[in-house]
Amino acid sequence: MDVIRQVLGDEKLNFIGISYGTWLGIWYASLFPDRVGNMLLIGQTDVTAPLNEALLLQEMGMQRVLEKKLVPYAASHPRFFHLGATESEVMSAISAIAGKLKHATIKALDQHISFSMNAHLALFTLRSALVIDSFLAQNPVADPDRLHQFLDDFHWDVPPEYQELLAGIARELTQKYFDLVNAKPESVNLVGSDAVWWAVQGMDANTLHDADSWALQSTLQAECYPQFGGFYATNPVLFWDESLFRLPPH
Amino acid sequence: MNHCSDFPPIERIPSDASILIVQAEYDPYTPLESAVKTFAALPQASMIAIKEEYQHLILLPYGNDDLDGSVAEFFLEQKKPPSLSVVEGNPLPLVP
Repeated sequence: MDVIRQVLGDEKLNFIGISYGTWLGIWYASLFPDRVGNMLLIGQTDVTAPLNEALLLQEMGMQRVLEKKLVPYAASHPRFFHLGATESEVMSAISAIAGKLKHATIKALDQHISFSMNAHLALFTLRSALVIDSFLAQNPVADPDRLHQFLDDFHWDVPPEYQELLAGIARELTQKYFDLVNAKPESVNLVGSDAVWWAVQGMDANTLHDADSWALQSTLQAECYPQFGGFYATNPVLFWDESLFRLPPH
Repeated sequence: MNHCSDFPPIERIPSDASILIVQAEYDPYTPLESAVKTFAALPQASMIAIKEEYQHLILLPYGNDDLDGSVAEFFLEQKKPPSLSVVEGNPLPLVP
């Protein structure tokens, strides 16, 4: 960041940081206090605690978006979203999604859960999951082709301009579901953005390298946040023999 | 020592540093609780919280005059907003 400032020929760094960028911004301000210009930080990470603690809070944050924003939104438009006419009906419908379909659905929701302008896409994803769930209940050994055919023929009961959008979301979710059902155990593939993600999780102020602690934390999170909790149990850092470095003593 | 393995030494940030935090109330990825902890640790920072909003990547201009005006003045006129202010978030999209 300071190299960029020098290349630009600016005396001070004016900076806009978003999400993890806020962590970087605070680091810059701490390391180069004489060169801090105006710093706008959007979606502030917690710089007072290890990053893994902040990341665990995300499961609470996603569950809260579901319960405080998306469920009421769905209940206030029952004839458009078809998820229920009251918040408890909507929550009850969503809670019925289980197993690998739930896993695939939550992964698909991750694309929309932080974009309020796409709230309808998040709810279309949940509607798709319920339709797929009802098909799987009647066709437990279904293959992808039959499910795709079912979805192509399904009457979604939405205005025509939304029909193809919903069908597309359902097809995409079907693919994710069968990918998960057919997944074989494989090594963690540390390339591209995944490498950055796991490097940040595994090495950037991660203080929790004990598998039992992670398992306990994940169990608690799954209890408290039924739709979104527990996913950090898949963190490959759990299966590394030891931390790649240790925090200095405080 | 690898600095990235520790928390930033925020006590080194100048007391008059110009820092503005913009935070959605229901941001799922960087929840308000986390942002408030950082804000509390940085007395030189201002924070604008967006009520009822859950968008993580707040794009500017946002559409709220108070927020957009404050950010514009922050960069163009070096004017810091009050320590803490709250603005109304945009409603969720209308559906047919």
